[in-house]
Amino acid sequence: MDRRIFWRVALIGLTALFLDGALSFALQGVLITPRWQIAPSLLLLWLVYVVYALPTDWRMLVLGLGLGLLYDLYYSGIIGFYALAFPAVIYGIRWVRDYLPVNGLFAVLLYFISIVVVTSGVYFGHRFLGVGGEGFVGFVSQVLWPTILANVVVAGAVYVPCARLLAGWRSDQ
Amino acid sequence: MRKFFANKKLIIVMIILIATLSTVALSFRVRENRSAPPFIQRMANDISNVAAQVIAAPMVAVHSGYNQVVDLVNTYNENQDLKKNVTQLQQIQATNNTLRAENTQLKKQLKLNATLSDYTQIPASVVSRQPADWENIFMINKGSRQGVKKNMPVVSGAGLIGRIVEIHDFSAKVELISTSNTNADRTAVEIVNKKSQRINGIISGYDKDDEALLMTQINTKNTIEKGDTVVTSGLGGLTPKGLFVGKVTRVKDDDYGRPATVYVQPATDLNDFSVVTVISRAVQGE
Repeated sequence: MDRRIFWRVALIGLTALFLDGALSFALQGVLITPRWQIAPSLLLLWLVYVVYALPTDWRMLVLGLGLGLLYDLYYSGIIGFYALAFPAVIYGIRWVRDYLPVNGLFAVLLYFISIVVVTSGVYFGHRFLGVGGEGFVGFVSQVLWPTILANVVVAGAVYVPCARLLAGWRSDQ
Repeated sequence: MRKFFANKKLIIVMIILIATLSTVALSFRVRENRSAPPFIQRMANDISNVAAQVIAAPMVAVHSGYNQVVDLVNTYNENQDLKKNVTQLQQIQATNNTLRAENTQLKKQLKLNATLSDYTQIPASVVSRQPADWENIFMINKGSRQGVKKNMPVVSGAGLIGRIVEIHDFSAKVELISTSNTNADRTAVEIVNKKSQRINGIISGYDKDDEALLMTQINTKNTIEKGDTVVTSGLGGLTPKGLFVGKVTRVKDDDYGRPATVYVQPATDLNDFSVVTVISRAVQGE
């Protein structure tokens, strides 16, 4: 990956990291209700789309680790969950993307799988520590599915502009 | 065994997992036990908070604009309701002034500098909220440099909404009173019933179906009724006495007919706040 493009990816990733929290706050009455909890995952979406569309190297793993560390530091104070989850997702997508055609359907599908893995993994990690007492059934019905549904809709809506942007960057390289 | 250790990828995965578990355990221990995280963590959080404020600014502006429009639409009805209360409030204010003066005089006579109900206020703005909300944490723009300390109570609107769980130089993290975190410190509260009797207990959880806080560890034969007021008792920690928590909506008795769990409707909407006040108790205690 070209250095200039790497820093662009990092800057947008950083913005998405803070946008996740800003959206959770600004739309808290809609996203967090007694019936459902939706966790915005724009940072994860950006990482998935970038790794799926651009040729990446080890620096992308380092970026994932850095953003994950900052995510843990800023939002929770418990360091490790997202610092492990983001590089793992990046590694996994790098591994499978060569076997998949590049189109919107597969991009959203990869994001769907990533969000299930990351949200569930972080949930079980928190349960292990006794942080977050939501039962498993409650988690699946009130947290996981609403989160997947809302984020997949957003992923579908922003795929075309993101794909065009990343295709432009790819041709710049 | 030699074959096992020859698999480099497996060894790397194991090292990563062990390192992750170690940082999780260490940071969790720091967050629970230390009054403030290490310098690097504090600095990273303060810088992040500034960046988050910049990025959130347009959204916060839209959010507050929307709230202002909603308030404007509701203005007429609210005005009618408020007019009904004005006369009554003037009377209460006059009584309060008399009682406050009398209280000050009595404290002077008893040589009491501060009591459990005395506190100062530190206003703060909410900057961001944790996206995956199972810890019920949000960030504010005031920290230790402004006098905020770990475990201080935080109020918004009419009542208590949480406490400070992590403190940095210019920012802090607040855990909502509705948290399901089993490691969280619990808020000591008391119910003031119709006969002005006080019944002590703690807020130990949140019922999503009833949208109510759960008050437990109640040991009383006194009557608790729907509509009774719940306030902080000032016992333990840094919470002053008398902060409004909410109103009793339901009482669930145990097998012996004693109240086991009291359902308390929070005084403030726990999912709609943008400005909060950190309360600093005059009498310190752990």
